[in-house]
Amino acid sequence: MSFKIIFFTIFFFILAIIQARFLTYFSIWGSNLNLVFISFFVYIFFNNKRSSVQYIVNQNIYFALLIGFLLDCFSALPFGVNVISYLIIGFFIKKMQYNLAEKSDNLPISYFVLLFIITFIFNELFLALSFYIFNDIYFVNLNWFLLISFLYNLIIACFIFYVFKKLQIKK
Amino acid sequence: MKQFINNRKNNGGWIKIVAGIFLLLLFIFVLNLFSSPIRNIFYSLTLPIQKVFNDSGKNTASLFSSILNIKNIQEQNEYLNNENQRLLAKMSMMQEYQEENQAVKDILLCSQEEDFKFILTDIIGFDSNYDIITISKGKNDGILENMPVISSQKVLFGRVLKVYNNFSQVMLISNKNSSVDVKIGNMLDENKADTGVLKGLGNLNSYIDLIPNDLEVLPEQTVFTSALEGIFPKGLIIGKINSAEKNDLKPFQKASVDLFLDPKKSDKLFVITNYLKDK
Repeated sequence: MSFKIIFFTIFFFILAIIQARFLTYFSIWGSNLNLVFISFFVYIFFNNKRSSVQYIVNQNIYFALLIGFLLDCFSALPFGVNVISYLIIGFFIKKMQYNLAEKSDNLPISYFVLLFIITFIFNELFLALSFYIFNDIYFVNLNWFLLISFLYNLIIACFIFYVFKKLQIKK
Repeated sequence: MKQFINNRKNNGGWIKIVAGIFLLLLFIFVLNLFSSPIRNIFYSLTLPIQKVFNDSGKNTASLFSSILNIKNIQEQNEYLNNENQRLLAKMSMMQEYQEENQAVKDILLCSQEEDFKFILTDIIGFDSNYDIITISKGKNDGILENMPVISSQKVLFGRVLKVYNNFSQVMLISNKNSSVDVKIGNMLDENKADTGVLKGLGNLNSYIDLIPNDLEVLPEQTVFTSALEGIFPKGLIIGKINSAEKNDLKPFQKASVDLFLDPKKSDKLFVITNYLKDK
């Protein structure tokens, strides 16, 4: 196991606890910052160089399983909902990146925003549907709460994107 | 020959994908099979870290909110001073009714307090997305599903939703799935109180539905439990009426409620352990 994997395992573990126990007190009009999702998205988005495709896929699967498991532990839903959602998102980002990368620069902000919008909405809908199917709590707000939540998360995600992009250019 | 090799490669890929999906489903099945002990171990191991982040989140949020609401606090202070003076005047007027009211009060308090057993617990987590809190007591401490959870001021928080060995999840009354039979008005004379059903709206908000249209609901009236649904004892405080929405075309009216519960400001809660058993 490389240092990078160990580092990000601890990082995501602490981040999941921070999200479930700290950030929940800082909601804006009922919308919370999904820092775990943003970090996972940014990690997958930038994790595409200097390694074989198989190695990257294995890494993505590992982190999707890890994050899904951690979020499921804090959730009132059965195990597996977040695991499946994050696995699908991980595969989708990589697949789209390989398809889009041939056309222009590998990591433009437009791709980032486009993929973020699709995956964020997918994640929210997938969770909402799961709540509805398992009927454990209720059908999550899919009105303007989702819009606020989406904008709130997108702004933070774009900020993190530029930080990572700068770090990559420096490297 | 080339096509044959390609076909075999494709078949190998599909086998890998199918095997992967099968392993994933198996993994999820095993997790769900041992869901309760897995979650319990996870919570027990991470409890100290969770507490640190939960407490610091609560403190930081309250610091920020007091800085942001400094103007509101001043206005509130002024309002409370006026309210205090008004209540003092009212109190002196109501002195003569005190004796007869005391008898009624005593009966109510006896039925409420003496028979109940409480378990003191800490809030170790708050999920604002779904209005669920996590408390530090579980099955090992005698907690069961649907037990009522209240504060030291007898403010109703909700009921136990899921119980694990060392912790439990509590569904707040503001949760969208929550529905509580309530009374509005005079706590000491229930005959004078109006009935309704408190329903959660999420995000720590609730409203009362099914209030008969012929009744007059006024702002600032107290809302408390009626015990009709059999989960909560009667007389637990819920909140105050904010505004009522009356439509003559409909048989019932609705009223928005300012809930007294605040998981961001409360640390200790009490679980009533024998109300359900007695039922």
